[in-house]
Amino acid sequence: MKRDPPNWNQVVRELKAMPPVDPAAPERIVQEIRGIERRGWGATAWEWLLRKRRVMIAPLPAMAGAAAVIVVLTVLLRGAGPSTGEAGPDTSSFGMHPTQFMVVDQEAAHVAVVGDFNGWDPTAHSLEQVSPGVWSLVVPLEPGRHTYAYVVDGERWIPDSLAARAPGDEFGGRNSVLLVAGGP
Amino acid sequence: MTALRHWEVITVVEPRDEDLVQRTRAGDEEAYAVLVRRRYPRCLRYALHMLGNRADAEEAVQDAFVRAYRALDRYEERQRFEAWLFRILVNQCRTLGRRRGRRERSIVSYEDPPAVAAPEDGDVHLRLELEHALQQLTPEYREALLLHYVEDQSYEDAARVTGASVSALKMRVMRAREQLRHILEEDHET
Repeated sequence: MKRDPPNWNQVVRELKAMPPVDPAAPERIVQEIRGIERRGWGATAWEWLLRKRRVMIAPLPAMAGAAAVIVVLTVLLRGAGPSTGEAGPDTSSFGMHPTQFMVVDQEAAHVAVVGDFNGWDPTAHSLEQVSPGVWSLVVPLEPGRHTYAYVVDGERWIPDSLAARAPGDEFGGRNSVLLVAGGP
Repeated sequence: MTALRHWEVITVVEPRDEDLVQRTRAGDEEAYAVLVRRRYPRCLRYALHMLGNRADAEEAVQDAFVRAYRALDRYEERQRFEAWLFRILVNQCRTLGRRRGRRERSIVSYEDPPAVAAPEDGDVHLRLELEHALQQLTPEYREALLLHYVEDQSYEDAARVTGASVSALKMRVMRAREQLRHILEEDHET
């Protein structure tokens, strides 16, 4: 028998129906919480050192740091002396360079990067939370100068605190500048 | 002689969420348990609709409560606790949805058991149709629609929770409703 599609009130009523709850499920959470609580709330020096803080990392220094780590590891793993092996993969074969954007923000629910490369569209490039509070995304960029900013939780536009600021842009100089090497 | 009956009116005042948070911060271990038991069903409802799978939904809700507990020091009392908790839950559902989505792109089908088990007096057929239709929306549209129409959040609150601008959120809600209506109509035509 053919039925009429539900009207909107029926849809909302059905969606609002509370699901049956397994009574053990909330109790599992309570047990887990108690395990955490037994470790105590005290503000010890160790806790102070581990306290989460907002840290912004500029893409260029982050890439330079990552490159330095890779070089050191390569030297350590392959023995002394510079490598004379084959060249690495050509990341610029299509004229684009993978550029890593990274933000450390323990409080953010969502972080996006906006810039001239994506039309300042906050929905175009969302960073992924790669570990708690660490947001990262690799965006292929054309060589040259790019201005960009981060959008935290869809409402706060913030510059990259460790990168150079773009002078006199339309957002009151709140953007950062990124130089991608390469090109003709 | 008629015995006088003495009635005593007892008003039980449930503690507010924010008071329970304060007690938790002060070390009252039962206060957070009350919060968990109180807010669990709504959180589960949202996660079930978002993820379409009970095991994932329970995991997302559990993670959200644990993360909220660890972050209680950063909770500011000018916000509603439930809105703050939902912000964490929305994030957990996104993370879990992305992780699962990469492994298996599954759409709840009519053959699958319903993610939301129907109460006996509910319309089982309609609920299955709805779950099927919901899972066809993009996660952004689905979360906007659920927060606004099911969790009764204002556009402003839902925008804060999702990280979208108010205008973007209004557009998502409108399009999600339109798409849901279209999917349900299509299902009835075929």
